[in-house]
Amino acid sequence: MKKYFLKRLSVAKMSFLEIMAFRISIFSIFISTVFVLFLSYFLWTGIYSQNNVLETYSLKEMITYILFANLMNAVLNTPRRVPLNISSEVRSGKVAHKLIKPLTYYEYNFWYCFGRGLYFFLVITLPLGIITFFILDVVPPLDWVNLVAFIVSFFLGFLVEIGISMLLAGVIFWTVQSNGILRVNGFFAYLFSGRLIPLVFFPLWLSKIAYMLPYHSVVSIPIRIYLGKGYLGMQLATQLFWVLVLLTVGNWLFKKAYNRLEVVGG
Amino acid sequence: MIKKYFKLYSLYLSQYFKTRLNYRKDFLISLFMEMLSKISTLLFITIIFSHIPNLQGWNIHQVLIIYGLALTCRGFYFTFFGRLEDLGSEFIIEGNLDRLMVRPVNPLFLLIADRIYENQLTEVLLGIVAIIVGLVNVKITITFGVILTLCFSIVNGVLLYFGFFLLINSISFWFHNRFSLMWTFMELSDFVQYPVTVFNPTLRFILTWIIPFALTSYFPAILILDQFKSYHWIAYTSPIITLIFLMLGYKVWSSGLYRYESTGS
Repeated sequence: MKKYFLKRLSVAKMSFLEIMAFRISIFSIFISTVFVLFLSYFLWTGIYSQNNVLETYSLKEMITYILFANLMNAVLNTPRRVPLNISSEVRSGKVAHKLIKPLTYYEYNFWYCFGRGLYFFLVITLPLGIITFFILDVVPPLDWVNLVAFIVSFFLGFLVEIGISMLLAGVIFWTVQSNGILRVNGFFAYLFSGRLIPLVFFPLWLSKIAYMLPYHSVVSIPIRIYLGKGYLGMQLATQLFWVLVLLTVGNWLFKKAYNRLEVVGG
Repeated sequence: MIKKYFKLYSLYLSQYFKTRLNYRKDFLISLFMEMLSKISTLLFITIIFSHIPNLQGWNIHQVLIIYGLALTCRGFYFTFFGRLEDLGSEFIIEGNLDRLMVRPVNPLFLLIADRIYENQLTEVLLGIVAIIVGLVNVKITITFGVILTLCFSIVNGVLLYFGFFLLINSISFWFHNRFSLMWTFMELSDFVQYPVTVFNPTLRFILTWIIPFALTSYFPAILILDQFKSYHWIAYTSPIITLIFLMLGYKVWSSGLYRYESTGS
């Protein structure tokens, strides 16, 4: 049992240490996040200048929503790079080295995302979150249950994001062409997760699409839980459902792909 | 002299497109995808304005003009001068600048002509459509003067971006860094897709005078819309600021180039 986790955590640790070397690009992500926070803060304050409540969101709740969405994004962005890594590894043949590791390629990438995500959480989301919490007028956690539920939900959302990315990576394994799929995914993740704007603001047809896709489990649900909107049980169940579906299907796709994989010169 | 450069540029361009159009299907798909990824701000504006009648006095069509101007300028800048962003990583650290310096043409010209980013034209297209939709719906008569102002502002905006980023990227000559600062500043250009009056005075000041991206969108827009007459003078002085940035950028570039000592081997 101990060995089981040791193996996996060492991959996470490796990816954590690897990203630590890129201090300047981390710094730039930090600055960009600050910029985006500024932009959204002022923009939404402007939008609310003539209204107190829009679509059940007060200004304070809206600011909280947008801040959280953008802060969480630093963590959620990390799995989105994995399909790119995989497609370049497949093309260059480096994938062969990964396949002989004592973990399946799927699991290896899963824990790799994990390490990255943790790093970005500790370096960007947490410190910036604490700073903004004191500077800006943010809704405080309603109670302990709520806060714990939010943390769990954020984690589940991260798993969903990994699930989506790994599913796409599985698809890329088959098609090799990656650019188009990833662009569309990036756009969908931005729009349908609720990072752009809370989903209640969508016209009805668009929100129907959004609720059918897994993306809203990633951003919309955790923040709504934090703000105490919607039914907690239902929300967590939705997230769990997507975690299970995405991880199973992704795993299956990867297994299929191994049998088909031909490594150049391998 | 200028004729020679034009001829060279068109030669470079045709050469580039020959390689690019080899994969025609891929080319078209990537253009479409690029468009999709650019459309989110537009969606945001449309969705927001379906819930509020105006944003601090700005209606959707006026905001569309500002948004369109910002997008068009940035899009053109990226299309034609986007290669600048690789100065630090690809040209200075890897020493590829040598290749440009041994030719009997201005190296800055060669750097820019090295390739164009045609997929950024989708941003331009989106911007122009937004401007047209805005202009048609705003209650002003579209005279020859308006069109002229528009064209002039766009050229001015593109050159302003060029001057600014020439300055920023030339810093790579002193601080060898694989990472381009450009992207951090690019984030700021997202701000000027909205009326700068939304932001607080400090931020507004920075976006007008220090990192003057608002000169590419907000100020030309109030000139065209004939609003806020007391601020029109800023729009009129913007060519001077563009000139200052161009000269400053070129100066830093030149002294950086003088300092450049290639890679070890």
